[in-house]
Amino acid sequence: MSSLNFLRVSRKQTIIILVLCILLVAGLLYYRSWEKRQALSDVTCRAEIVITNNDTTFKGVLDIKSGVDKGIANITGVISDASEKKYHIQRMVLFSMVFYGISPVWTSDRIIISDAEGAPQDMLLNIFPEFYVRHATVTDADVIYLNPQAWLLTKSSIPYMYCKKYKLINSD
Amino acid sequence: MMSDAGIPRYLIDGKIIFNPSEQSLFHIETLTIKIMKPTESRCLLLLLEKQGVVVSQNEAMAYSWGEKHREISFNTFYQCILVLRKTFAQLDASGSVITTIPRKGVMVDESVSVEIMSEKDADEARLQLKSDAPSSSNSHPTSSHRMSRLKLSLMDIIILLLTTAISTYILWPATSKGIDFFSGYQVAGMLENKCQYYFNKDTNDYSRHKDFLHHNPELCQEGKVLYITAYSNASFISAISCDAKINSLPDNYCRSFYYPEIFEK
Repeated sequence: MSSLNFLRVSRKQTIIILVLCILLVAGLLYYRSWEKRQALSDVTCRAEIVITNNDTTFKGVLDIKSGVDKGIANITGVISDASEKKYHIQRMVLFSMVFYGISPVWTSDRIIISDAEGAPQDMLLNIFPEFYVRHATVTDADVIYLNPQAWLLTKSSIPYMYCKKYKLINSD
Repeated sequence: MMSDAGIPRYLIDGKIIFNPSEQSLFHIETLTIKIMKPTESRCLLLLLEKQGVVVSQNEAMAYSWGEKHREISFNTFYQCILVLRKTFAQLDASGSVITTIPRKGVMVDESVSVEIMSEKDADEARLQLKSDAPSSSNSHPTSSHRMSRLKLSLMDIIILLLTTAISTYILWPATSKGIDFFSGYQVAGMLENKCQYYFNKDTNDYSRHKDFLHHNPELCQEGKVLYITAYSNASFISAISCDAKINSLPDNYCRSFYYPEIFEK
C-alpha cells in the first residue's frame, strides 16, 4: 500500500517533469529555428567567382550584405565572349527576402546599373540568374552557414559560390 | 517512563502507521495524520506490543500514566480507549482494532493486521508525514521539506536523460563550427602538383567530373583543394578551389567557378 501511494505521488512528479522537458525541447527548437534564420539573413560576405557559359565568361566579385528581410548584392567584374570583347559589369541589386517555411525566397526589387556597363542583356542572362538582371524572384537559392567566417550559396542545392565574411564598421 | 529511542513503528490494518515517538497515527492513502495524547499513544503501544494478549486495566493504566496511574479513574482510562477507537474509525480502519474483554481488560486481537515497519519504510513514512499530510494541523510542510521529498523515479531519470540528449543534439550545431556541407564529398585523387580534388558522393557517374578536370586543369593549382560537383543528368558544373580543406582553416580562401551549361561532348 505504501509503495502504491509512493507511485501515485511519483506519477504526478513524472508528469510535471515530462511537461517541463517538453517545454524545454520546444523552446530549444524554436530558438534554433530563430537562430538559423538570423544566421542566414544576417550575411555580409564577398566571393571571387568565375561563371562560364559556353564562350561567355564572367570574372569578378559578388558582394552580399543582407539584414533580416532585405539586402544588397553588388556585382563587379568583367564579362567577355568568344570575340574576346570585354564589358565591365558594375551593378547593385536591392533585394528583399522572406522565408517560406525554412527556404528563403529572394526578390530583386531594384537594380542600379553603373554607366560603365555596356554588356547586352542577352549576354548577361547567359551568365547570371535573372535575379541580377531584372526584377525577378528566386526560390532555389539557399545560404548555408559553413563556419563563422564563411557561407556557401547554393543554387538548386549545388554550390554556387563560397562567400567569405568581411567586417563592416560596428559589425562583429 | 519509556524512552523514544529504538521504538519501532507499526503498520496497522495495512494502511495506518502508528509512530509512538511522535504519538501519531498516519493514514498512508489519505495522508491524514492524527496526533494523540501521550497517554493514548502509550496505551496503544502496549496493546500492540502485547497483541493477542488481554491487558488488564491496571497494567494499561500503569504503563500509560506511569506513577500517576493511581490518581486516574477507570472512567478516564475507558475515555482514553474510546478516543483511540474513534481515531481509528476516523482513519477508516476496518473493524475494531481494540477489543474490550469484559471484566478482564482490553486487547488488540490477533486478527488485526499489525506489522513492525522496517527502518526504510519508516523513513519513507516520516518523509510523507512531514511533507504531505494536508489535514494535519500540527504539520506544516516547508519548502525544504518539499525539496527533501523530491525523489526521482527511474522514469523521471529516463525522461531527464532523454531530454538532455535531445537538447544536446538540438544545440550541437550551434556549438560546432557550422554545417559541414562538404562531408558529402570524397577524395577522388591528387594531381602531380599536389592539388587534391574531391567529387560529390551522391552520384555514381564521375565521367563528367573527370572530363571537366581534364579540360580545366588550371582550376586545380598547386597545393589547392578542389571540390567538383556534377551530375550526369544536370547541365551545370560547380567547382570551388580553396587554399585548404573547407572548414580546416579559420581563414581559408576559396574561389568559385560555376558553369551553368556544360553538356557532354
